[in-house]
Amino acid sequence: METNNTDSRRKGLIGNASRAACAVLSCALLFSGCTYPFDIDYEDDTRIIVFSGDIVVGGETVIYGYLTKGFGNPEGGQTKPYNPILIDGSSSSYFDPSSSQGSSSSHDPSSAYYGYDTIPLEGYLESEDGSRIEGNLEKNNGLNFDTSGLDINKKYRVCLKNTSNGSEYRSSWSEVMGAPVIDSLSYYIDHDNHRLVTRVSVTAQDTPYISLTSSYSWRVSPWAKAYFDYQLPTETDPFGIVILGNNYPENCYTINDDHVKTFATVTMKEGKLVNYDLDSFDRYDRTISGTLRLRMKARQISKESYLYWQNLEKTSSMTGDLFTPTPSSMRGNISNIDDKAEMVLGYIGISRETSKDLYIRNADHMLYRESKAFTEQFYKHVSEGTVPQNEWFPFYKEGMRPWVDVYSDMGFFLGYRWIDKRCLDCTFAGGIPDKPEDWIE
Amino acid sequence: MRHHALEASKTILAALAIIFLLPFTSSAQNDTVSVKNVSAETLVRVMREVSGNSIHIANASKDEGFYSISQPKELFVEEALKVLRESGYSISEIEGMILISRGKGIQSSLPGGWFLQEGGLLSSTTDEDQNALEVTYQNKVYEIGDPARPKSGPVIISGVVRDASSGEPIPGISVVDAESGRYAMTDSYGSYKITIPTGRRTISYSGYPMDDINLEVLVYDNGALDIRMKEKVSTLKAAAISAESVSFHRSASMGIERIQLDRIKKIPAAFGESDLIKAVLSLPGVQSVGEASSGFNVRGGSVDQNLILLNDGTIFNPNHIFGVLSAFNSDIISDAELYKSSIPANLGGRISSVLDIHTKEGNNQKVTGSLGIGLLTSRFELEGPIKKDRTTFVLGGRTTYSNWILGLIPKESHYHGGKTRFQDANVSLTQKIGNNSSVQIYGYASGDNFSFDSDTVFHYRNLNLGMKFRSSLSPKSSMEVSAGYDSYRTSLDGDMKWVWGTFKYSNGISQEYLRASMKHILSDKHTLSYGAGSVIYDIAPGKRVHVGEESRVIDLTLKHQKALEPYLFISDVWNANDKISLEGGIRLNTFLATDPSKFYIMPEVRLSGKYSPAANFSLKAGINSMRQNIHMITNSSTVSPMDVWTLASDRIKPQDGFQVAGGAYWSVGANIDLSLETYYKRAYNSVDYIPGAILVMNENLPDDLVTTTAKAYGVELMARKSIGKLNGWISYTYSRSLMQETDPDDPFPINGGNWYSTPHDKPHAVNMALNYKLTHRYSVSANLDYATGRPITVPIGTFYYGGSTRLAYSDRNTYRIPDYFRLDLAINVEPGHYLKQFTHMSFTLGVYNVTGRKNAYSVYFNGSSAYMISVFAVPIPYINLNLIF
Repeated sequence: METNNTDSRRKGLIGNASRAACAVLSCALLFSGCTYPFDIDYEDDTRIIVFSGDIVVGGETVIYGYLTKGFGNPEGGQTKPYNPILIDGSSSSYFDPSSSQGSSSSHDPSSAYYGYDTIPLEGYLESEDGSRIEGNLEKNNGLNFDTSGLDINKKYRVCLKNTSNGSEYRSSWSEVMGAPVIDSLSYYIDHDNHRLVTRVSVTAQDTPYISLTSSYSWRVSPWAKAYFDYQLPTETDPFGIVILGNNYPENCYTINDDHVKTFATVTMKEGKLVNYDLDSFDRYDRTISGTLRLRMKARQISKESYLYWQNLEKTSSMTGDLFTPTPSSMRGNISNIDDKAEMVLGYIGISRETSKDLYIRNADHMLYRESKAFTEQFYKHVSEGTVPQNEWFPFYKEGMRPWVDVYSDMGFFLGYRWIDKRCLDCTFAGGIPDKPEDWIE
Repeated sequence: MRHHALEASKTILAALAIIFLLPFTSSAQNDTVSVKNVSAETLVRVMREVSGNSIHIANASKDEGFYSISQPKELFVEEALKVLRESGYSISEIEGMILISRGKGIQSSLPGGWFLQEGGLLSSTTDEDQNALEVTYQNKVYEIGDPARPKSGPVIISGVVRDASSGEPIPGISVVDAESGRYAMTDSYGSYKITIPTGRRTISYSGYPMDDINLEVLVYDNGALDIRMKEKVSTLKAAAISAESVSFHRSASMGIERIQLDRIKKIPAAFGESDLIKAVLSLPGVQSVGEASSGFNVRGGSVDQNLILLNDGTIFNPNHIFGVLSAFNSDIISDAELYKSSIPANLGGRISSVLDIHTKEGNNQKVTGSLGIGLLTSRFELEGPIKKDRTTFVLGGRTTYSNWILGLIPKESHYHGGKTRFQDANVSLTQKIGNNSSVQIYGYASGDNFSFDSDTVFHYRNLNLGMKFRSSLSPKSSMEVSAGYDSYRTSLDGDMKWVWGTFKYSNGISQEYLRASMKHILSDKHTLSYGAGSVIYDIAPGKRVHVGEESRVIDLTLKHQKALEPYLFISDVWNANDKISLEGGIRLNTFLATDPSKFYIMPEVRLSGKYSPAANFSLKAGINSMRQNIHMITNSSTVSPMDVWTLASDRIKPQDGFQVAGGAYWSVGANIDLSLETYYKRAYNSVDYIPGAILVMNENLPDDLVTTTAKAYGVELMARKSIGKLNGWISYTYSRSLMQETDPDDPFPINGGNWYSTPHDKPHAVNMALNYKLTHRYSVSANLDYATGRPITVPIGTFYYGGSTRLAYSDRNTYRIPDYFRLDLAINVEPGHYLKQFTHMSFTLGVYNVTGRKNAYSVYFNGSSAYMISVFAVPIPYINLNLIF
């Protein structure tokens, strides 16, 4: 999956100039490149507290508190323990059954903070009239609030306490923002580039600032469908026997993380975001091989929140050029009550939310193709020919399973080709076999 | 007479050229020839024996001098001729013989009109001013004024120093009366005025790269003395005190650097493109944020605090190709001065420095020109008289063909298919009005375009139109009036990938100005200058226009900012005696912003003094206060086309600043100048941006800005050798440049309200620019540049937020990129001395970054990795050809 991130592109446009100057001049002299790794000699190991989560009126509200990781920490980039080849859509067409089996592919928001030091929190959501909604500590130190009955005409703030050291934090008072209208959620095929592109149209309501949270889920088949099973050797069948049957789940389901984009429609006619291209998928991307679901949640946000998100985008990739803005961490709307100078990251907003789903079936667009690289990799995990009967059990012990039966041109049965069992198990291709309750298909 | 003199010069030069070239045909002869305390006749005899040529001397018996020379055989004759010339002999070549004679050169025939001239060969009087002389030769005693009616007390001698061959005024020539110690320097138009006692005086005119002139003058009254100087034929040996030395010890001004274009061309530069701004960057106290980056920083000031004047017009963006080249065609520049400290009262509007650039007036004798071909650009320059001695023109232009380089970039690169191009053009017309006045009309235009990813195109252009009238009202008074229009426009063509619709964004700044100044020599001790001027600003902060029917972008034009900036100034130079002089001035700066109206007024003080306990040693001190009513808002480290200019208003105060500086100057021998300057600067009400600030198309820009105080201090050490075989300079600078947010309304000031480094805070800097002249045609140049790495803000952590890994940053500018080091070498080959040849070719062969050091241009961060970009990571060979005709 390639993210069509307009903001990072915008940031990079001018910044590209400096890299271009470098590329221009070095390439002119036929030297291959001029970018080198740069080691930063840190003077200390500063870790900053981050609060993540938004208060959604009528929806689920979970606030997490955790500490940043050191830059360059090998675990600092990718945070999830589950199959990375499907998280990164651009590489999902690459066949790699040796990666670990998916274990948490269901949508667990707390898994996003895997590898970070989460902070045990207690706290409450406070209304301007003094009423409070206490938070309940959940898995991975998430603090859950029941926000189903909030009064949209009141202001709220979040008060949190780090129970490990007693520090107290408080967000600024925030009005409940409305929900924009998702006019359409669709996709189109870019035939020139053989890509599937999702797009959205949204109309802003009370403010021109919109937050769109997109979440992709997909149904995926195993890399190879199994038609046979193998029974272990017995006295009567010393090589074991191959029987018809398939004990592997036919489909698996994966839900990706929420990805947030923010927009300002103040520059757009009628305050509408029309046919904005969200993401695009290559035709070799297995994400679109079955059914892809895009769940779009839209919320209005304040200008301050919008600026905060924009700064996060600008300062988190392709930075440091002479032409790009000098990056800096931006404070959110939450601060330490006793130590105002403490840098605290995160912006806790409050709003209503609208949601819309889009199911994209390969059967409808027929764009998906297996890439040559995928096929080459796949057949490295398949026996070259049929496996002699006396080698069935050793093959079995090596993790191979009978895959297809092979016949001669004359129609005589020759035997079975065996395959790595992970190719038959869709959990190795990502996801879990349990169909999500809200999956409508 | 002039024709006759030229012929004589050609003859002599031809003889010298033949002699000079001979040694190169027999370079294997390494014997040294030495003579000690021999007479002129003996010397000539030795010359004959050494060279085998027919060399003769006349009137040698009157010469009581003795000569000592020790040179390799092949250089002996050349050196001997030079020594004889310096002793007052003239050298002529007639029918293959070299004839050496006392005084005037020997002519084989009389020039046309000889018998019609009263003044003979050496001088001419003009009809309009009986006391005006034009001097080409120095072997004569000139008389100024009527001997029958001599004036008592000091008198004023004024004039213009011009190049003998082109008639171009020569700036930066020191004019010194040896007996009284009085001095003057020619200004950008070659003009000078010197107050000297009456009687017999010896006046010296000296300055690189011209041959020094020492005139014997009998002065009876005020008068004019125009000088025509010749370019040094031989610069192998220093023979006079350099103009820099004169400036060091005579003037109270400090922190002034005159950039000589001849030297710029010998400083090795990337791709061989000689460049004014790059030469400026090699001076102590001048830095930039990175190699091939736009703009420069003077003594800790920001880029927008430099006033860059081209013939009095303001250049807002002095760069091409992201800063790889400057906007100035070096072929049309006459001179440039950088004021780092003692900024004259007639200049103002910026609080850090003034770079005052003047272009040529044009050859008033014949049409000449040059063509230059480099790896990135080609340029041309054409100049000449429309009416000889009265009306001249200069045309210049440059363009680039760097797109071929972009075509070499791999397709996988983001930049494949990108384009960059620029053009600039200069045109000037100068009309002499009478003998004492001239008017110059000038125009400059440049345009830059660059694009990447083939979806967004950036444009910016400069346009400057101006007119200047200069008049020497009397020997004691002169006047200058200039008016013009300056404009800088940037635009961007964006598409769907920018903000959901095709649009065009533009902003710009323009100004109209009128300036008038007078200079009066009140007495032999006081020179008074005063004047007034005004600038009308008009800033278009931003305009967004949709392009195409399908674009959903809303058109928006931000309100123009307009203001009037009138000012008055008065200053005086007081030369109390040989040891003490003072320069003081006041500039009354006012500013009226409109809609909403806001008025600011502030007097600026300029004061500097000099004490010279010895002729070759001076101490100086000074203080300047400055005001700047215009801000450039940028959130990047270097100048980019998306930067926004904004005026002081009811919400944004003008920038104020002052600088205190002191210095010691010591001339060692005749041509080595040592200097130590130290300074302390403060700037108030500078603006910085808050984290996450939106600077483009922001209707409430002041909301995203904070006010800061800046301070800078440093010490600059410099050794300069201006003339001689080896010339150039070496400097070391220690400096700091820091900022502090002072906005009382910001609950979270930048870096907690503490002082933090500016992007150009580079404490240690070493610069060396040396040229060694091997022969008259061949020289080698070396350029060394070392500086502490610039400050950067780095990520200190990562966190997962909104579906992506984000970066948490350190306090602003608390880390540094690696130190910068670069050594460049070049060989310069000057044109031959074949005077009758129509064209002359010079070229430079060089290597930029000889050591191939991978200097960090910038550092960027991607995910959890940091990368360093090096622009010139390898030794870059280059060749640059120049054709002069």
